[in-house]
Amino acid sequence: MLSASFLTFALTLYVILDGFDLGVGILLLLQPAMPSRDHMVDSITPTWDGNETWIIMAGVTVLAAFPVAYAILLPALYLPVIFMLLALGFRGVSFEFRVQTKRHRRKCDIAFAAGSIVAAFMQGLILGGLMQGVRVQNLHFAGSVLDIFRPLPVISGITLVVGYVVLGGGWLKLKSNLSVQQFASRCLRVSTPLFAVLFGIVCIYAVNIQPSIRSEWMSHRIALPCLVGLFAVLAGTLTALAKKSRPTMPFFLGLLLFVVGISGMALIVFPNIVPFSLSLWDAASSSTSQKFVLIGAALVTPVVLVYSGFAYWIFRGRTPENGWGE
Amino acid sequence: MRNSKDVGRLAGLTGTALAGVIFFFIIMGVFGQRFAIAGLLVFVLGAVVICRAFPADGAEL
Amino acid sequence: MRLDPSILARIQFAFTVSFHIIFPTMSIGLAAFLAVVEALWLKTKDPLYLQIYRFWLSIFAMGFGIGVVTGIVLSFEFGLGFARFAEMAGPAIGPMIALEVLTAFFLEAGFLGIMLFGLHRVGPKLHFFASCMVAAGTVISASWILSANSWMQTPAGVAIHDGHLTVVSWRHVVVNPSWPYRLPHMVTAAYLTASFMVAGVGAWYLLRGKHQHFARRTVALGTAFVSVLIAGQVFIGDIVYGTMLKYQPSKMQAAEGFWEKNSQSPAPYYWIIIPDQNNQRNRFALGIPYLGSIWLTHSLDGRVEGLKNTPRDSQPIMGMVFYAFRIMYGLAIVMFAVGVASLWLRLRGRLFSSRWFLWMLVFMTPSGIIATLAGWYVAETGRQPWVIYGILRTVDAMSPVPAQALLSSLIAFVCVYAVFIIVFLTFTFRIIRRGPAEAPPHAEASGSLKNAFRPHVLDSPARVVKRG
Repeated sequence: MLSASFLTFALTLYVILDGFDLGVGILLLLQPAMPSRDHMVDSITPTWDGNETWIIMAGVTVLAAFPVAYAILLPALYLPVIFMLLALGFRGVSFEFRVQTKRHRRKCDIAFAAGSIVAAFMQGLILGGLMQGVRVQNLHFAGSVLDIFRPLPVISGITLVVGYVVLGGGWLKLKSNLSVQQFASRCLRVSTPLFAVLFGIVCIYAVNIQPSIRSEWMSHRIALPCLVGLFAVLAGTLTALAKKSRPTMPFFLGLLLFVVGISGMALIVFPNIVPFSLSLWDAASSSTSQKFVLIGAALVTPVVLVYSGFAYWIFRGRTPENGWGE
Repeated sequence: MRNSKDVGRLAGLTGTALAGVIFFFIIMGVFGQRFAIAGLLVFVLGAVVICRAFPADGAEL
Repeated sequence: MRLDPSILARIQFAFTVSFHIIFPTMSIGLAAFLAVVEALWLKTKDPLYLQIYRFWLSIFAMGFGIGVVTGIVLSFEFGLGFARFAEMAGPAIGPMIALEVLTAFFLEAGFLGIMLFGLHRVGPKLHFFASCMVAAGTVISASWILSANSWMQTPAGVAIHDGHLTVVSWRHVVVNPSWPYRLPHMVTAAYLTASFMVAGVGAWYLLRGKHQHFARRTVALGTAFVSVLIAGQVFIGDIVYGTMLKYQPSKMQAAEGFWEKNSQSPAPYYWIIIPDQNNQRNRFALGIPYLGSIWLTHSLDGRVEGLKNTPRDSQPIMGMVFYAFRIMYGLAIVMFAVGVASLWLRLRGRLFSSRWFLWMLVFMTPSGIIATLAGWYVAETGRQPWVIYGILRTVDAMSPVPAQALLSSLIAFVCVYAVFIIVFLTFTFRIIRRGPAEAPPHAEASGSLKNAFRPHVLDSPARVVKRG
């Protein structure tokens, strides 16, 4: 149970932290001016490495605490996971090498953006695939690797891409200079409503095709609609404030948007870890293993948060115009 | 041209090579664990001493 | 065409992990090197050390980045290709890898940003602390993952109930029989790798007559570290050998090339064999007489145990283990010779003027990487046909993923990783060709580091840099 909470925590942190730097990456495609692009990249440069680490944390927690689920989910999600990993890798490498060259920088940016889009899309695909349900027999995956390429996961993929754009826009508004801020505001005004609409479509579609989800909605008759309502309100506020507010608001509203969305999904999925056939307890490893992870996590996570926070604090405020001088 | 300098160099080279091979055998444990540890310490300390005493480019370390 | 998924899964994992290991090996070594160089800079205020730091920092950063992304792939690949292994071993190695992420990855990632970009935001002491934390993080990371792999080689601390493992003693899982020896072996290998890289680049400059100060200092540093470390590595290597002989006799039997249960006495040391696994004999074997008994049994007439001591269905493939071991071991001997030679040349004051030695250093630049890879091939192919030695066979560990999916992902990996390595090598060679940037002579370890760290002049097509 605690492990599941830690897992959710890790996943949420990943989505929030990598979300905005994936979003910034995607936005690079829309930004024609090189100095602005440099500026956008500079805003995520010092901290992006650490953000990706949370997805490793999430994956490894599943391996350690719920190995049966790990063994089922990974073959089930084989293709999107592989492509996501390759996209993240491609993105990481193009990022590192961008600094080293002026002539090929535009190509690096395109690579970075492409990698970001593919990674985000694959993540959405995975989410959609999970919502759709995974076929399990005798505690082993019994479906086909192509199961994932169906409408619900595909729409989820697009939704997540747009969602990350919202986060990326918020981050840019927070961290960048005036011209990029205006660019970000324009993006936010388009992407936020789009995200909300797509999210709505995904919810409705999911209810229609997966009976388990429908029953979950029935059982959480108050909580889920409240969350949906909250989501809509937040989205509306964000769109309205995009142009004129204080720079911090859009980013935090975006974060809240995602937290609400994740809570909703968690409510629907719980107590299963492989939706909708395997519960947390069936998939769990023994308590000795769980304890080991949790004790380690309890001791170390606060430290990690402190010095990650410290790193963000060192690079606080607006990104300097001329980058980081290196 | 064989002069005394060349002979000296050859002797030094052969001597060093021989010493190196013997040390290699010692450290590998051919003569037993105790000799291996002793040989290791002699080699490492010797290397440290030589590197510090002969900094090769005049660096202060 | 029938493709065997288990072979494909193994090839894929072998490819991705081999590619990956190159980079953390460099990173562990270079991180330590950078920390040492920064310490020397802070202590002596010699701007040359700052120059060295900046030069190797950029190469380090690129390698680190590729190491991270290829590593992320691996943490998911257990499940992608080897789901039954992940299911069984998850309770044991999962927490170890989780702790690797918590204690090491976050540490490295957190402080790397400061190390690379925080130079005018933090003072020199905090920056040095960051460099040290990154170096420490790499070693901690190596420590955990090596514990996990060592557990696969010499499992301990678990109880098995119909296909499920429960951890009985965490102490024995983490501090399993082979870990205390394999860890220093790997870390030393990483340090040697970096030392040879540094010395090799310096030697190259000396041969070209460029960047004399930089080159001399780095050759001096690199060879000094090599000569101090290589003896320890041989020593530890021998201990690892003895440990594996005890816990995984089949691996060492395969490594030496002997088939018969007891070899002839005295036994030669084989360097070349053409093994015939089906007929359990060597079609051809070439070795140095007596040396086998001397090196392997520490006596003049000892007999060596051959692979027939292991039942046929548990035998690793001799050819792979033998040659991987010979490559690693052979390189170690050459490294030792280089170390000894460097000491002798220092004594004679001719460390920088012996052209044959400088060429030697240049050729030895990638030696650490090759030796490390070879060593890992010994470790992993020697453990076959087991994935958890004595507990789970590799063939029983596969995922229910069809061969086509595995093949397409393998092809995708090869293509993308090819891009990575080409980009890495291109930029590394460019950095080497460009040479170390001149630091202003008054750059000091105090107050404003801004002047000391001016941005590189990047790729300007019109400029051809000739430094001397």
